[in-house]
Amino acid sequence: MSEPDFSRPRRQAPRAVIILFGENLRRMVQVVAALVFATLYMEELPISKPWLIALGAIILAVFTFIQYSRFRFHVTKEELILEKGVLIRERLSIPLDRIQTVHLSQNLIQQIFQVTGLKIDTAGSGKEELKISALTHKDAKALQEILQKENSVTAIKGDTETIKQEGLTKEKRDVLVRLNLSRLILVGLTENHIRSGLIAVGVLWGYYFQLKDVFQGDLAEQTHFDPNEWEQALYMARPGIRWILLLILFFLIASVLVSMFRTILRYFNLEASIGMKSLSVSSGLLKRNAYSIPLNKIQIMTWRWNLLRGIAGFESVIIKQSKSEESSRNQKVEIPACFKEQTMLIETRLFGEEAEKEMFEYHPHPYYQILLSIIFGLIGIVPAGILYVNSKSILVFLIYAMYLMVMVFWVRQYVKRMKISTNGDLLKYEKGWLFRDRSMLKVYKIQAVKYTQSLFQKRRGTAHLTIYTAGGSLRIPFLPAKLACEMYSYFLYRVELNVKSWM
Amino acid sequence: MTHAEFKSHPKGYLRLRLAYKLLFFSVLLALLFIPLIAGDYSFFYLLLGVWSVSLLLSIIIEMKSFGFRGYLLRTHDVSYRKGWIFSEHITIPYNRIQHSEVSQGPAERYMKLSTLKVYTAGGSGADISIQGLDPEEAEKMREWITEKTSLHV
Repeated sequence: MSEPDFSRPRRQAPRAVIILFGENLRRMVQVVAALVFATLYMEELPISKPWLIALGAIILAVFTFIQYSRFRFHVTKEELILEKGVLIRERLSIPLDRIQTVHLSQNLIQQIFQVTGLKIDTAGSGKEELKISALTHKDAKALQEILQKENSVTAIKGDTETIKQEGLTKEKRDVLVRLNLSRLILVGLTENHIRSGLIAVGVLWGYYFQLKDVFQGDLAEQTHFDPNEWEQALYMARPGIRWILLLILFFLIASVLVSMFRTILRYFNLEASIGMKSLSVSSGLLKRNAYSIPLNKIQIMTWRWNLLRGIAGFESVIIKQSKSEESSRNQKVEIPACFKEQTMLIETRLFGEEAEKEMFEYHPHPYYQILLSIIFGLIGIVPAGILYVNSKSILVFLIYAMYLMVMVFWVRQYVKRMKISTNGDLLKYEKGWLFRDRSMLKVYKIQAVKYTQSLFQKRRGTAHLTIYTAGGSLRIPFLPAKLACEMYSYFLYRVELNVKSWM
Repeated sequence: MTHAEFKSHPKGYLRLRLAYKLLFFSVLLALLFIPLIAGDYSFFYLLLGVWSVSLLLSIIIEMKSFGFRGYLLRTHDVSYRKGWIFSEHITIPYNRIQHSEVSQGPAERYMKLSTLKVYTAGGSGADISIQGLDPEEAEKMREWITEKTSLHV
């Protein structure tokens, strides 16, 4: 088999026409859907005429074909060059050393037609993310390797020869996680269900208001449905305690279902492996994503643990790379179900060198615990008050007292476990009790440090410290002011001394 | 945190900030007249009272905070601090700066002031934006930062 050649301008795989057509169609349907809503009140919908639809399809097809033939790309010694544009022709050249991440993805249509999309992210430039919609899988893999090989060469100067010989994907790799169906279900069952539930409620809430707007128009009259009446009915049904418990039960069951659903969509057939220079993850049911992340590009690594995961014996790992302003969501890669062994492997691969020296541990100011208890105590008064007004039951006081006890205990555990440790090379931040987070980053990757303090905090001698990297920030609340101040200066000092490439 | 060495903004910036504040409050005042049209005088007087107290408070806070605003260019990093009730102090080392720029909005142009912005990678919210600088000073600062940054690339 011959290696794909990217040195001369070339087009995408011919099947790209179909994919591009699909993308354009979707975009057009979105626009048309908006128009439909706008013309909902008109007697006759002008866009429903068949000849108009046919005309639209033909224009779309011609547009797509021109788009396909004008889109060409190639890689020179220093740059990736893209030529594109139907009405306005563009020529983009991206210096290879500016490329942060290259990731492959396949949505359902791309999977059916056996092509792979490739996304390129250049951090900091604020420009849009670059996208090649459809390549054959072999080409996509090869291009990803070329683009990432170049950028790791520029990152580790002097070590050029060895990397060129090895290549990123050909190195020896250790498999971290391979999710089979039973493991996948286990991951779904141990997700943070409360979070999934809240996300679902948020989405439904949004839809409810949209639908409400529609129904309050003429349609509402026709269907004899008045949302206001419905709301009134809900209000009349005064939530009793039993009713609330039922609602909570329903919420929990729905949350578990939502978690399962999300997990299967995201992590289906997940495979993660780590080599000496890079880490790769691929997963997804309807949309398959494949990331290959050079280890030196990882900014923050977070281990996430919850009680259920603790019982199952694993935790998930979240990798944060440098992100551009536009695509802030995509640069977080998560590997669920890492057992102790895999966690250790990742930790030594990534931070082995930095973790050699002894770590020093620091805790938040004791005042933090008191403040949190007061705040959550006050927050609890509101629902308790509403419940009391509705039920006039003494039981409410009992519930509130129980809430206070649980809350104070929780806050105590939470603050007790909050810990920041460092040895000057490595920074580790742990927090949480039933839901634990452990973040690690190399000190030289820090880009900025912020110290915040209110007048109130000044009197108590405490302050927040925020640490920024290209992949996100860590906010460490309520440290003793003196310690925060010392850390501020010390981290800056470590960064300013450093000459390594941090991105 | 140490408060020595920090340079404060020219007085014109305080005037600009106060002007913005007055503009905001005059819009609020215009809104206050809506209940008056309905003939509800007592409510209007109540709102007017709240309005004047908050205007006074916000001006006092603004004047007081202005003394805490300041920037500092050291050998290896640039810092900005602000705020009296909620104080904030941020530092970016030169070797982590992506680029820096000087800009000027219409109001700033009228007041003969400039803004210096310092960007880091990844849009992590760690960027520094120093408004209300003397244009010459801002340009000088940008040149200094650019020179320092280029040493590291």
